[in-house]
Amino acid sequence: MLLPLLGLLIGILIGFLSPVTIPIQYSTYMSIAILAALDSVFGGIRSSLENTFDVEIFISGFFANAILAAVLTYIGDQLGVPIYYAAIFAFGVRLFQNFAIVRRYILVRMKKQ
Amino acid sequence: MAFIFGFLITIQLKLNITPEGIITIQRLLDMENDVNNVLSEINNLKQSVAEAGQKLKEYELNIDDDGSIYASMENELKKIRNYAGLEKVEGSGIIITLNDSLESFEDAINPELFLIHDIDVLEIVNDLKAAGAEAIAINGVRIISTTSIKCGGPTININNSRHATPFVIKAIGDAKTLEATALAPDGYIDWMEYSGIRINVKKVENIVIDKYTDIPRINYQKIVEGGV
Amino acid sequence: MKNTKIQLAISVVCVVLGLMIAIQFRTVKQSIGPVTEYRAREIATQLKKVREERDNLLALKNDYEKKISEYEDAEAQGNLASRIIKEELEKARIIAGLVDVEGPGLNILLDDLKFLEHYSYNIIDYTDLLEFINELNAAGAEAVSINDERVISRTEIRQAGLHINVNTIKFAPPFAIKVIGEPKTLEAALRMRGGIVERLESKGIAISITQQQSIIVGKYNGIIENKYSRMVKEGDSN
Repeated sequence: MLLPLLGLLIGILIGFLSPVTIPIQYSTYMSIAILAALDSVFGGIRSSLENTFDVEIFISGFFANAILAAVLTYIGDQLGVPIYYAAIFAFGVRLFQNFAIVRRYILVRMKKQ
Repeated sequence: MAFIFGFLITIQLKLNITPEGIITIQRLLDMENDVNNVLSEINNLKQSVAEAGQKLKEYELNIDDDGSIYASMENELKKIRNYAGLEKVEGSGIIITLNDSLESFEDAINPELFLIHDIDVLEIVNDLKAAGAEAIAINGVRIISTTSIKCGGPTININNSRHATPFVIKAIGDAKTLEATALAPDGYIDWMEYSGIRINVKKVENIVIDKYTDIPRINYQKIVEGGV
Repeated sequence: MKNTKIQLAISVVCVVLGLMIAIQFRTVKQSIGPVTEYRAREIATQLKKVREERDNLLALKNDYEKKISEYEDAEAQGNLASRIIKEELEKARIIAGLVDVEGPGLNILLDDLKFLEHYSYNIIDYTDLLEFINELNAAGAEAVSINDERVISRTEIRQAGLHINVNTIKFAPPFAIKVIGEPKTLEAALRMRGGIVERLESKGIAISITQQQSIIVGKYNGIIENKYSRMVKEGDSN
């Protein structure tokens, strides 16, 4: 549990210290990608607790979801319809589901001890 | 369950599509810019509305007084002619003198740089306008909205008159501001001096600039019906 | 029970996640603040409100000017001198750019089609507009406006970051230029070999020119201040 958190902190630190920024118009894409990454992380934690973790599924899942979300956002921009809400909805629902399952596992484990 | 979700989603989507369409940060910045532009227009309009209102009142008073607004119209005519550049004016300002470079440029890679071009004069005049110049003349020719400055071989054509160096640009306005703009560190004149073009800028207490004397261009344009 | 491989994989994604969060945070911070639907709606309403106020003021100004003109016309009916003065007034107003005018001319559009792609710079710069107007003038233009801002003798065309200021109003592409003059002569001068259109198009600027039988060029609605100049009192002024 510690290593991922450390990774998160390292990432945040690098992001803050480096002079890299992205153009303002792409910030919606970035926020969608963040959501995709969050979803993957929680999915990964859940599957690792269920012992169903598969590295390839995990990594590919992150990229695939992020790309799909970005494409949806782009199409939505062109059509003038906020289709990316669908992605936000999907990721959001799954995020909370996974989080609930992870929470359940941890609480059950704590109760056993 | 899913049906309720779908229903709620659609309602949410409909409520959130603002009349301006999808909101991106770029559009937000554009809208803010539009707001600023309109606010600036409003400021100007308030002033011109006040002026127009005053003029109207003046006319009304004149009619009450002696039934004629002729005198007022005469004043108005002078004022408008001045706005149009059709009156001789004087005031404080600066005089910029431009001379071709004296340096020999036979071996120069780009001999063009050592001569003054129409774009140079155009840029300088534009900078002066941006700095609030109220009247500008080049070699005695008054600059108005339709004035063109074009290269014509060794000379420059201002409208239809040909002029050779030196070019004397007179501008009436806030002398300090005009001079500062002309001498600005990375301004156009500063850049020109690199090529050895001799430039002299000096503040003058009283400059006299002649009126526009060419034939006014009113051959194709006419006031819109119901206008004025 | 998580073995190190799993932990590593999740950590890598976490690093990327952290990176993105930080970058996003900094990117949004450097702009005008949190972009929310609320703010967008706020600005949209504000824009609508100020546009209304501006339009009301404009209508008021036009109304005053119409009444002024009526007084002048009435006076002009009276005698020859008044009629001459009224004609002179109209001429002066036309030359000064203080009235809406119409006539044959061109409707021109200058666009930077890829503006959003290279948002950090603009291939249409103020010098291009300056030269364009100059060419029009050389070809006999009588009245010119850029994005409905009338070009008068004091009009400046200035670069302000990504925007171009005309009469202190900020504009971004596309630039719509309306000009009154002899349409064929104007267009020919623009499209000359080695002329302005050729030069700008080679830079990647899209230019469209349409000849018009009748086009309206609006009046200058700004203020003209004479703080430093005064008319010279002469015996007679022509």
